[in-house]
Amino acid sequence: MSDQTGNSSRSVTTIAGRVVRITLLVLSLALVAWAFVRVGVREVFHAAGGDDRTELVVMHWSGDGGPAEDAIVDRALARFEEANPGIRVTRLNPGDAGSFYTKLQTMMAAGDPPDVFYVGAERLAAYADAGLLLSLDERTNSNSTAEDFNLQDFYPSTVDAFRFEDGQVGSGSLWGIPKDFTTVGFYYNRDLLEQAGVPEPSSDWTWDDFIASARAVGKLPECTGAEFVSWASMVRAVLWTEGTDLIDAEGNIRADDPRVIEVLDRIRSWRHDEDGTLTSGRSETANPASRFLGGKLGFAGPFGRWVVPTYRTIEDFQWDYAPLPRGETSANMIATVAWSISSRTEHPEEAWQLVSWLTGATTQAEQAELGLAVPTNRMVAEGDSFIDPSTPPSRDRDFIEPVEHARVVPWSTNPALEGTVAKRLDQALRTGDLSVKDALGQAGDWWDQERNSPLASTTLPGMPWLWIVGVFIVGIVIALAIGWWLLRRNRPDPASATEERSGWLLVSPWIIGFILFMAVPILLSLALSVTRWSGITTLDEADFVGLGNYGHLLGHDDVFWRSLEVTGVYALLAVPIGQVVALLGAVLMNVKIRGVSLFRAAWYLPSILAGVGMAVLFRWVFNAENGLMNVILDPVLSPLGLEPPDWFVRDAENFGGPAFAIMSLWLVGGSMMIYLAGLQNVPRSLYEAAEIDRAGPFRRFFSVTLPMISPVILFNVIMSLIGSFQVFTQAFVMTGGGPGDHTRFYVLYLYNQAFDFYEMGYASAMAWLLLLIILGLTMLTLRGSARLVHYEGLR
Amino acid sequence: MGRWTGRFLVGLALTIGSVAMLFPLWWMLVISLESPQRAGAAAEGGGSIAVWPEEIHWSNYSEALKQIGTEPWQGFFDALANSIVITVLVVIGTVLSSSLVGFAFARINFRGRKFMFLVMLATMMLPAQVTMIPLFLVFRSLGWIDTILPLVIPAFFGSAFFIFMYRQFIAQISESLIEAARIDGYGMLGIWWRIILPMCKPVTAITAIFTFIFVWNDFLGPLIYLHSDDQSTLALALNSFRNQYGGLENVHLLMAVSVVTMIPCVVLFFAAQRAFVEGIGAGAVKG
Amino acid sequence: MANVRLQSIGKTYPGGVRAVDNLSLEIADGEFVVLVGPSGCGKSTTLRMIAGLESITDGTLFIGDRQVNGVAARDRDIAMVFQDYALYPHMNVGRNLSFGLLRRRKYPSRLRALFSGAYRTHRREERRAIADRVAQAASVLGLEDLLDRHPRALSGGQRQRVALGRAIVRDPSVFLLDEPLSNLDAKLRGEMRTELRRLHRQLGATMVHVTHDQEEAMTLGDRLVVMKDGVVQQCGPPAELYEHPANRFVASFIGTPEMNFLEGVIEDGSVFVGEGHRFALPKDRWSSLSVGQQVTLGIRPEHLALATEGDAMFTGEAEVVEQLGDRTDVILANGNRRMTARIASGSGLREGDSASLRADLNQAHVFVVGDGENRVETT
Repeated sequence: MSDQTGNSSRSVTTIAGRVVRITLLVLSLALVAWAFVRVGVREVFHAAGGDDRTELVVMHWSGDGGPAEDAIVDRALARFEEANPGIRVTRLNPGDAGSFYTKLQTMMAAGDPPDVFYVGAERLAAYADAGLLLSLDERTNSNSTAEDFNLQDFYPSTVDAFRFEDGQVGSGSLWGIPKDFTTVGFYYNRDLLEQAGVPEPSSDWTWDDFIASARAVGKLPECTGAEFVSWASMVRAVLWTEGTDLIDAEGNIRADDPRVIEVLDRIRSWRHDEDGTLTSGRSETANPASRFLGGKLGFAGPFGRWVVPTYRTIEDFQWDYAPLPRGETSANMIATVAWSISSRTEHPEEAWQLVSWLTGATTQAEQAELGLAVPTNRMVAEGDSFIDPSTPPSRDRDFIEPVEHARVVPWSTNPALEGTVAKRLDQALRTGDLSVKDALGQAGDWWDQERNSPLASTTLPGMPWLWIVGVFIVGIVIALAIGWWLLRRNRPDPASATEERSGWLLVSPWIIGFILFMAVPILLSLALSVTRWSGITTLDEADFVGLGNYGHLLGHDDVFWRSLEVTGVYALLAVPIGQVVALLGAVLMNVKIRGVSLFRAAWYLPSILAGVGMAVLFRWVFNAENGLMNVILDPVLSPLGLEPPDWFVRDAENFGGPAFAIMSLWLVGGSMMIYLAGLQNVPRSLYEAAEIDRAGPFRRFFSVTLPMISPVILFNVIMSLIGSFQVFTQAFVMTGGGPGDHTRFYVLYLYNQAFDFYEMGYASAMAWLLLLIILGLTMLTLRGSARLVHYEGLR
Repeated sequence: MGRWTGRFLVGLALTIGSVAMLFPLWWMLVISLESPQRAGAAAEGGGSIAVWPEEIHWSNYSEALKQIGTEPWQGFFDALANSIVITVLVVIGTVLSSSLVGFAFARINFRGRKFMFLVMLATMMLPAQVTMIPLFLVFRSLGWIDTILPLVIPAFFGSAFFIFMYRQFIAQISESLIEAARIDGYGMLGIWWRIILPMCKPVTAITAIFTFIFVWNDFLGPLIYLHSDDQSTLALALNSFRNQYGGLENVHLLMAVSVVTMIPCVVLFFAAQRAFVEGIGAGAVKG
Repeated sequence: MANVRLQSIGKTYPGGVRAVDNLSLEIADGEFVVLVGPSGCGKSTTLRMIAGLESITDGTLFIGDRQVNGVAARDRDIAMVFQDYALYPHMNVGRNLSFGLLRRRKYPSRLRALFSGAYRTHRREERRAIADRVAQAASVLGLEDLLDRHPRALSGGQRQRVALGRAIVRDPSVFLLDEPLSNLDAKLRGEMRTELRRLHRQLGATMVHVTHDQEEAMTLGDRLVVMKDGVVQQCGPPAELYEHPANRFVASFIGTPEMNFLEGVIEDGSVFVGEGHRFALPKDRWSSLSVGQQVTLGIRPEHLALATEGDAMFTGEAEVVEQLGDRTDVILANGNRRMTARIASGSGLREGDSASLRADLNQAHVFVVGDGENRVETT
């Protein structure tokens, strides 16, 4: 390999390179060996370490509480094990609430849920309705196992949040014991309020007080009055303070209620008609609570207690908390999480002991120190461990007192209601691309249709699984028989038979893998696509709906069509542009110039990061006000009298998809590498021949390079086409599909249906439609390119 | 246009492209080294887009890594070891199985080959979300939950994407090489191991890198199948870190963890680059 | 060493194409047989059937005394040299040479060598034996200095030699060579031809060689098999094919420049009439010719000479005059009719000159028109 004509300095660098390479190799081999030893030792240790104690599996999250919450639960469980020597607790913590619910759902669907787990009040209706939870009525009445547990000590409204019966939350059977709760209100920057000359809000302040103060702060240089989040539950709490609600007692959306429209229009106009009163809703750089940390916001809310651990890191200014302002009346909402027991647990008695332990006064007191939420036990909440004026916020009582007129926000057992209302409210109140009336109208129409859909019928027949499995088995037997007959019909000569045998032998890994990990799941999902199944119950509870899912998708689901449009536009932009850039890059990198390997690395590196970190970064890049993209675009566009788009907020309808297409350019490294490998295989002699024919670089490219690597191009185009129809992670992390549905890519909507709305059957139907779409597009591409692609050496 | 000008233009175009490609990564590195205040400000963009950190805080890294998992450092070491074990096994499995099957599809005549190849292409079009729940049911009935088996074993049965890639490459290898090996006394397995695999080095490098990066960054799989705390992988840890430390005040820590997560991928890439370029097939035939 | 016997061998491809039809051939031990014919004639298919790379549709094939129809290529004890050499690009020359031997080891396991002393000894001896054979083959072909190189660092001739070496080192009973020289330049090709002859003599091996180049075939083969459209046209030593071509196809395929052909009819007294010519054929040579028979008369260029006035058979203008040193090839044209002649040098004939030719009709060939234009046997 080494170049013998090279001078000594060159050989020094060669040796240095070799030394580096060998060192790296040794290091990485050592690392791999270390990893295998560590994992191996642990597994052996695990296998040896079983005992005969009763095992309880506990699952929780530690989102806003972070490692501190994790540690508290861990400690409480350790003490429980000490007090109950016959029980061993296995603790699972997937991290944040989103990961928690995804995992819980898969575990439930598999019929293997943890014994004890967190349930947020907003999910209670769906879980209790599906029969996933164990009723706690008898247990709370009969005995109290933990000495410090007494349901009478709990704030009644927090306990009521976990009562559910006949489709109604708030009364009836009890399904969980709330571990803690919070009411909501506004956090305020005391220094800014003083600077603006407005008094600190009282515990009984009004919306007029709020807006007057916010306007005053907004007048200060570089400051904004308030961050006012328009989450669906918060909006309903605001409406309660005005004596009305978004949803009436029958569960209808009050789309035409003038009072509702008036209140919402007021919030909309504060944000969009006034300068500096509310944040613009445009600069979506981090979560809204974080913006308060910058010290330029008068108020931030309505938030619950959960932001306190974060806000306690503030050193630059004084801050405090006031409850939700009063309108016509005082009202507030309760956000709370309970420990619930799975209906499938094999140890209900032990599980109940654990739940009462975890919600007992001692554990609550310990958690109260963290300050993340208000203890649900009245004694603890009003004791010293929670109320501590020496650490901000000093007004701890303002979290407790509103509980008198606070209640949990009741949502339907159909989780899609909250999701859709939230989406439309976001468009009306934050991004402002829909009027309040239109937003409510759209949500109302959708909800009416949803409830009157045949799919929503409660009298659907069960899925005839036995029958279906029978048909599948018969079908498979027939297919095998036909295949066997086809193979036997004309027996090959012995030599071909040997080749044939080795062929089947060599592809057998794929065949086995295909049957186990593809065919069976695919057939299962095909079966699911004709059912209505929540994905949180077991399969035998699936209801048979025939082609109802497909009919609803194609006929009635506007979001489906919108997601198809978003995805199609993205594919139309991202595939050609991406492939051209990748091919161009590869051709340029195939030129022998110095440092070409560095260029290769540079172009490929972003693809390595194509995960969570990249998505976080690109949200900053596409930020309308300060983002890198617009900082670059602005000087180009402003001489033309144009303004750079507000990618993911106001102009998302037209620029949301394209922004993702632009972002996908950072990920062309993979395609480029494949092109490069293809280019290296083009015989040099062809270029030399073309050069002799006096073909310029462009002619050479079009008459030699393109035809020679056309199979590679076809491969890449098909792959990126398929990939573009499966965009998920970026949209999931960056926009979550919003605003509205302007960046709701197909797979993201599929994911929403499956894991947010618990419509696994519907999602399976979507997946099958997607499969047909992609299959069709691929066939078209293959057909259309048949004449353009040049194969060599393929028999 | 002279030769020199041409090269200069190529270099210029590549440089501009590289700067655009690398800027986000550089930015990530810068933010991971900034003080918490400056990192938060830089993340909000605008005038404070930093090209160079004002003051380098290496301690961000130790601080961030220490906070992974429940016990200081142990969480990080566990996650690192798990990630390495899973990734290495998956890479080995994918390369072996995909090249074997790709070889069969490219070079062995047997009836049903075309049909199966089409079926295989079709499987590439299936969104992973479709099979997620059914797959979970399958693995559960196999008793594989809370082990690394669901993440590792499927790799040993080939991946459609890489089978396709190997097949395309192997189709370009001269038939006579395989015939020569047959005459030399090797069966199809021997030919695959001694002739095809060594000749496929470039595509193996690509496969290894792609697989490595995908598995290293995958968090949905581990999230679903691995329950126990000490089984967490680095990507899973990064994701829960993002959720726990997602605020602007912790941007520097989040970026530090992201950078650490990236390092093995970057090293692997640079190490395998030579194999990419060698284009070993060039001397195979005629030449 | 072994003989090869093909009995009514046929090959039909799955699409229905009949590549080889009813081919019977017996190749003696140590014989050098060349299969020759235009491309698509089935010669390569035949070779590949002998090699076991292609299945045999019908007929039987024997190598030695063994029927090998269903035997895998590796068990037929043959070696093959491919047109593109098929050198393993990732192995150096030494490894390329020994690759086929490694497979036949009796003691392949490294693991067992760790634990068994006797096994280790055997293994070492076996490896030494392999190394010896590689060294021997390398010295036969002069490859000693190239053993560490990779194929991509070799010239075309060197690769060719390695490919031969790979065959030799295995000491097979039959060598199969599939157009091994066609990728070489003319000079190298000439050298390699000589080398092949030398090797054949030295090894005394049975060799089957496929080529489309009749000159190569003539110089190399003990015996030639001329094929066309999957059917053997003629089979015999080069001289026989040259002097007694079985039909018009063989006659035109063998020998350069190509034989001249005249179409005509036999008239009374063995007089040939056709294309404006009329001359008497030696009656005693073709006694079987009958009056009115449609025939083709074939005359090799070297049996034509410049004529003086009286005995001219053909007159025309010299279109091309190729000086080859000891002799001169001339193409004379008269209207659409062209005749090629090989004449002694020194005639002073130049392009554009008019000249006449006379034929040595005793050396001419007569082919009956129709029925494959078979040659009429001389008496």
